[in-house]
Formats: sequence, structure tokens, C-alpha cells
Amino acid sequence: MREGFGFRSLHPIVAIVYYAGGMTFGMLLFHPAVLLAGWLGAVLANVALDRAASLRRWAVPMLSGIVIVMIVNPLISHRGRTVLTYLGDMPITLESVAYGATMAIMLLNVLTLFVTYRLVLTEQKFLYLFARLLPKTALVAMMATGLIPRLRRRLGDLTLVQRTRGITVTEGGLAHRARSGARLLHSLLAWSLEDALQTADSMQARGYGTGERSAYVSYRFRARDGIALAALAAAGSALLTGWAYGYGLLAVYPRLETLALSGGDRLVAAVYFIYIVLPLGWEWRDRSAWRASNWSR
Amino acid sequence: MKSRLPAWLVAGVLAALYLGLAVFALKRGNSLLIGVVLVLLSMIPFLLRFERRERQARELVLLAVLAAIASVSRIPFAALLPGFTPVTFVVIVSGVVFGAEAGWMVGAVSALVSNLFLGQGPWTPWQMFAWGLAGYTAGLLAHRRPFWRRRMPLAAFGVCWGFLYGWIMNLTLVLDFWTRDHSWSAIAALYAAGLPFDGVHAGANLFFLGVFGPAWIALLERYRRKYGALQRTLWEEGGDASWVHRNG
Repeated sequence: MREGFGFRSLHPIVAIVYYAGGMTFGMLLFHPAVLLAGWLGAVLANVALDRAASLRRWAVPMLSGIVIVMIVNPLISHRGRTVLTYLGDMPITLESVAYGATMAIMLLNVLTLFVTYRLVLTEQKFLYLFARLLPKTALVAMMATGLIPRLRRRLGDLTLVQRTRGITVTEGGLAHRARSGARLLHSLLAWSLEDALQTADSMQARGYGTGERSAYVSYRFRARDGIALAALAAAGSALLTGWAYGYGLLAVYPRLETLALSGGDRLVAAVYFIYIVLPLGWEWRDRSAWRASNWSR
Repeated sequence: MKSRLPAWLVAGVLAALYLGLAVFALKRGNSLLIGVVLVLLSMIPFLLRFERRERQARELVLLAVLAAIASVSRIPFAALLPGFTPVTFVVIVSGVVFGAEAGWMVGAVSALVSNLFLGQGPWTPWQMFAWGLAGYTAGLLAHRRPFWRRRMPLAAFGVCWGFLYGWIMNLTLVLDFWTRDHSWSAIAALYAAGLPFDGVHAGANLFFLGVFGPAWIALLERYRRKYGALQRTLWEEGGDASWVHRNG
């Protein structure tokens, strides 16, 4: 849906560069304020792409993971000068609390960005990107992705039918449930393997493996892709330079420095935010073009 | 063939540049990138081996089905206990029946694909690595040795992988703690904190491989013969078919 619109209409190469860069800088930069700026951008991207519907679905597991990271770090790492309190004889230092919190924000940022990954880099684009590099592996991954919704539906059918025989994963003791689940999977496996044999033979009959692989969808590298790639590259090299000069990094050990941002830090935060929201420019452009074309109505 | 070379070249140059960046970051005390890069690089030999050989459509579809089953298998157990998933079980069984290469492929692809639904992140390459290795070692160990296909040895193997999987997944944090603290006690504490989760995973493997291992192996073995796929040894036609008779 909406493949030809905005961010999603960009060439797969632009999309993969965007995500690779977003993740790399998300892991390189280490300052809560800078990472929060990136997170804000990622949230905006989620809102622009699907009104944050997927993000809302992920909110609870994401937040619980983040809380765990925040708590675990000060409990395990005791480095740092400023001791806040003692748990038993275990020192809890301000530095490891700050480090854990920054780590948690880093995780939050990367996770939020990757929620949009599924919306933008669809299976078709994935296949397009990797089919030339690793044709067989990409095909296996693509087929497995395509099979999952079908298998889920089948699993639903099986669950319904087997419940009449008392095989259910929602009632009874743990052992009974686990046993029932595995039996359901066993039936699912037999069913799907039988069916897959037909798929394979029909691929064979249509000439799989007889010559050079071709792809049904071919993506054209348009002017907007060139502009987007150049803009991403410019923002990326600015970030890399800033990072190499030590901006966008919080010195935690041995003593926590001030959280206040230097000029360079502010610049890095701004550029990172711009990097993350850059493709949304196309989203905005296409939306206004759509509105303009419907003006008369 | 002529379009293949540039793709490899581009990928190689990018990989080298990224490795350089990761090493530079490591020197400045950031170990997150180097872990991901090394794990990605470690997949190259497996991928090359898989790509090099001519593959039938049946083999590819079979691998895709197994990977999809492994991914979907998380659903009925999602409500039971966190960490109690049969993914490792499916991957190990696939490795046992179809060999090391196929086992690696099923493990890596199911990690990649199930994360499309459960959330991609920096841990995806690590999961691909860990599950791929589980399938690979299962194939190396048990593909041609009937002893390891028996209930108990297989369950013991699964318990080992329950812990190994957790230990591999901890490596990101271990690298991070090590570059900061250089203290073994912090790392020991980290592994101790992970033990309950690893224990649940090992218990799941023990349960699935112990109770359902032989039945699944028999089922897959039947389809292996029916498909005529992924067999390049004369082992089955030759002498030792005793366990096949016993199980199916």
C-alpha cells in the first residue's frame, strides 16, 4: 500500500543507506540530548508513515526493555567517582546510572527508527537489494517472509479444530499447554511441507534456475533518489566529522561531566535530527502535490 | 554473470570501510559497532558456501518452510513463559535431518524473518549468528551419526545450546562492559543475571527435543526422501538405515 508515495517511493538503495546510517550514528553518538533529538525525529517519521500505529503496538515491550537496561547497568558496573548510595555493600555510582540511562535512550532511538524499517523496506525492496548479491539466500528469506501470514492463518485453523479434541494452549497446566503447542506445530509442519512441494514443482515448471534471474519489480533511480542520497551523504559526513572531533559524546567515566551542550554538541544534535527526518521531506512534498492536484474538488 | 561482479565489489568496499570505522570507534571506547561488524563478516563463509552450489527449487522452498515454521512457532508459546520458544528446537532438528549448511540457513533466516514481526534491531545479526551456529553444529554432529539422533543425546545437545545462545547474545554487553571496566567480576555478574533466562531456554530445548525430537526427525526424514532434496550422501541408501525403520 502507498508504495509510490513519499518516503516509500524512494529507491531501495536510498532506504537501506538511510537505515544503516541512522543505526550507525545511533550507536556512535553517546549523549542523551543528541540521542533524544534523533528519537524525536524517529517518532516524527513514525507519525508521518502510519500515524504511529506500529509504534504504539511496540510501546510496551520497548519500554520494558529500556527499563531493564536502565536498572541492570548500575547494579553490575560499579565504576565511577560519585557514589550515590549503597545497596548492601554494593556502591551505586552516578556514572553508571548516567551510562545506563544514555544506553537506554540509545536503545529507544534505534528501536523507534527500526519500527519504520518494516514499513519502508518491504520484502520486495529487500529482495531487490540482495537478489544480485545473494540470489538464493534472498529468495529463501523472501519466501519465508511470505509464508508467515499463511502459516499463522493455518495455525489459527488448527488451533480451532484441535480444541475440540482437547488440544489447546490456553487451558490446563504448563506441561499440557506446551505439549499441545508442539503437537499443533507438528501438524502445521506436515501440512505446510506437503503444500510447499507443489510450490516448488510449480517454480520448477516455470523455469526456475534455467537462466539469469530477473525481477518483476524494477526500481528506477530517479532524480529524487539522487537528491535524497546526496543529502543523506552530506548530513552523514557532517555527523562523522563532528563525532571524530569528539562532539556528541558524553564523558561519563571517570567522573560525569556536565550535561550541558557545547556548540558542537548542539550542531551534531541538529544534524542528526535532520538526518532522521530528511526522507520525510518527500512525504511532505508528495502530500502537498496531492492536495494541489485535488484543489478544484 | 557480468552484473554479479560489481555488486560483490561494492559490498566488499563498503564492508572494508565500515570495518575501518568500527575499529576507529573501538579505539575511542565504543565497542557496539565492532561486534555487529564482526558478526556480519563471520556470516560470509556460510553464505558463500550456500550460494556457490546449484540449488533446486525444492531445496529452497523446503528451507523457507522450515524457517517460516521456526518463526511462527513462537506464537502458540508467546503466552506461556518468556524465553520458552521452540525456535532453537526447530533449527536443531532441521540441521540434524538436512545437514549443517541447511541448519545454518534455517537458523539465520528464521532469526531475520521472525524479527520482521517481533522487531528488528542491532541484535538481529547476533541472533542470526547464534541460531545459525546452532543449526550448523547440529548438522555437523548428528547428520551422519545415529547416536546423536537418539532422544537423550539430542536433548543434552539442546540444553547446551540453550545456554550457548544466551551467552552469545550477551557478548554485545560483555564487549561494552569490558571496554569500560576491564573487570571480570562485572562480566561474571552479567552472566549470572542472564542465567535464569538461559535456563528457561535450555528447559524449553530439553522439553521439545526430549519429547518431540524423534517424531519431528521422522517426519522431516520422510519429506527429505519424498522431496529428494538436500541429500548428497549415500549414507541413507547405504548400510545404516536401522533408525529410520525404528522411527518411521
